[in-house]
Amino acid sequence: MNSLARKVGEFNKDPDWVIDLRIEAEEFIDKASYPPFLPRLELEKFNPLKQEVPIEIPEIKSLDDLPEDIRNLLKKMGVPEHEWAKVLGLLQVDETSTTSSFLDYFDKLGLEVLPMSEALRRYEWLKEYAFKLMPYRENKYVAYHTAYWSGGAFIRVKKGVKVKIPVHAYFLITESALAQADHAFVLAEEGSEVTFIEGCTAPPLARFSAHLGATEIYVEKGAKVRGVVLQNWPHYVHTRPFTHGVVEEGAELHLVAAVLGNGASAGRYELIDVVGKGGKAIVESISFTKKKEVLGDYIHINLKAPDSSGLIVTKAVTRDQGENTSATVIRADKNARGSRGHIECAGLLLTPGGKHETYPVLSSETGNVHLDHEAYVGRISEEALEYMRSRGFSEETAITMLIKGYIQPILKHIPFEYVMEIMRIAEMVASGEA
Amino acid sequence: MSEFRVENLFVKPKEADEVTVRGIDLTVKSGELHVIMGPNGSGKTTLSLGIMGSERYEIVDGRILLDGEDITDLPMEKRALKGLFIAYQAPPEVKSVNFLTFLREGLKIRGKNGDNSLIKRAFARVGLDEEFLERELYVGFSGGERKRGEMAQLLLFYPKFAILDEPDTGVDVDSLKLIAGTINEALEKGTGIVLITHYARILELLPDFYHVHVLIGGKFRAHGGPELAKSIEKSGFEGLSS
Repeated sequence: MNSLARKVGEFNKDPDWVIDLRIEAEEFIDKASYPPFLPRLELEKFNPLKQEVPIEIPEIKSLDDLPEDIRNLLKKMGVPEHEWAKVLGLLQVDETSTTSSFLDYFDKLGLEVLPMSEALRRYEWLKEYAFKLMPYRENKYVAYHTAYWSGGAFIRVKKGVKVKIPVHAYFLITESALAQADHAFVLAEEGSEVTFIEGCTAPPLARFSAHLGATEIYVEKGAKVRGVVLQNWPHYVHTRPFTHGVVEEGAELHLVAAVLGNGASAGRYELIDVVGKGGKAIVESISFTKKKEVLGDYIHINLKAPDSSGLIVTKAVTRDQGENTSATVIRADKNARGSRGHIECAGLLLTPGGKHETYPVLSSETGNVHLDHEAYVGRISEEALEYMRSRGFSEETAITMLIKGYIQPILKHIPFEYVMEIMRIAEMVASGEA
Repeated sequence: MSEFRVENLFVKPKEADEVTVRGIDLTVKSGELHVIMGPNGSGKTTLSLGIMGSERYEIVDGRILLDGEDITDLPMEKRALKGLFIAYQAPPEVKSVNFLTFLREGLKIRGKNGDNSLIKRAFARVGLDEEFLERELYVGFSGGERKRGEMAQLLLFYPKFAILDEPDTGVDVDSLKLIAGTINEALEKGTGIVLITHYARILELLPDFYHVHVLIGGKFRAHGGPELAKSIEKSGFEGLSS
């Protein structure tokens, strides 16, 4: 059997069940369909084992070779410089470095962080969790991901542990930038709380021109998870990130995404099932789509338990020839009595030539729910612009103020140090510099 | 002492075929109050937005001078920073822009400290609750609240010259008093004011040294003082149109 999936699995030293799953998924790729709303990516063009990008990527041999954004990030995190070498180990996807003092530090917080493949070897019980939220039959990208994934982090917050500071799993950036299809896994045990940050406001040095990462998030009874995702992909990269979450009784999953650069094309897929009474799912995103970028968003919340709630808020800014499609769905099944759902989609077109489409969908199988949506697509009001100019603001400044105000409600859920950088990028988008 | 001058001004709304302001001359000095009165459709709003530099209007002929400098072709924002202000008759809702941020930034670009106490004082002066500062600019504001918002900006931005486009239309007696009080304060601080109004009732609350210009069919048909305003209040614009 000349299976590429087997090769990847053996290289990763996967347990047998993972290798079997990879092979099944690989065999399904050709039969799988493309998901709706996301831009289509011809996967045949990409070799999951071959790093291939149209630019030179510096090799990182010493601390001096660290990209500026990673250096800044490490400084911001307060990582002492003598620890950076260990980070380098992770940069090279060297799994032996997991004894790093970072991980000890996380451990003390009651937080277990491991490379995903190591976690799969270590914990047999993961068989009941990993890849369960996203069956490979779902679509072509998930099938591809399941067959060829490598890299990614396993994060477990132990029962009742409330992690006060946001966890920046910095190696998530580097690994997800290095790997083509990283697999992240978050398990928040009963009553625990955590905020994790993934990505960076600066473009990573991506080594593949296609990225099909996936994240599975389990939020157990009464737990709270907030995930902040920052993305700014270089112009040559196609990305199709998938996030699947499940929310139990009284638990909350809050995902906040800031998509600052879409690369060549981006298709984000987020699916959350609220399965426990009073569970809550919130997905908020801001996105800037400019030049010839194409972004497709598909966000879906299933309310499957009484008194549960779902909230989706998207704020898109499109300029130049950017194309942005945003599909949002809240579905309440027959068990969801007393539940509430709200969708708010706004698209702002800064220049002619771009395109924004929004598809909000509400569906219910029970009468006793309240679901509603508001959607808006349009240009900045000429009247408002004139008014701002009459007060002395140049058109550019006025547009910047309008954009900043527009994304403000979502920014308040993003840690402050990133907000400044996002604001700066918003200014660049307003002026057409970015 | 500053001087604002309009010379032989002709203005056309861009989407209209007709030139609706036809040869206006006006000179306003610091601390002076000039009242423009005229029936509906006489060109009052076209004149004020033309002077301010709105791109919805075209200056067909004539000049606008601020302290001798020709500002006829300057973009709106530059005129504003040189000290020209307009209080809109019906300012628009500006979604996503927080009122407080707007005022602070507005002070900042005028080289002033965006001090909250200053802003709160201006709001108190026009009788607007501070809670409005936390809202999006004019979103969900009533007509009267918007007019007070405009007057608060008149106090805060402290312009050299201000055109007030019907600040008294559709407001109750209490609001009228607050608005008149604001105009008085701005005049005392030296702002030269052009007040556009239909009614003489606000004039009773203002100092009686004002000049009246009657605008009909895009031209000034009469000039005078408070007595002219009173006669218009009594017998309308009849007899003034030739």
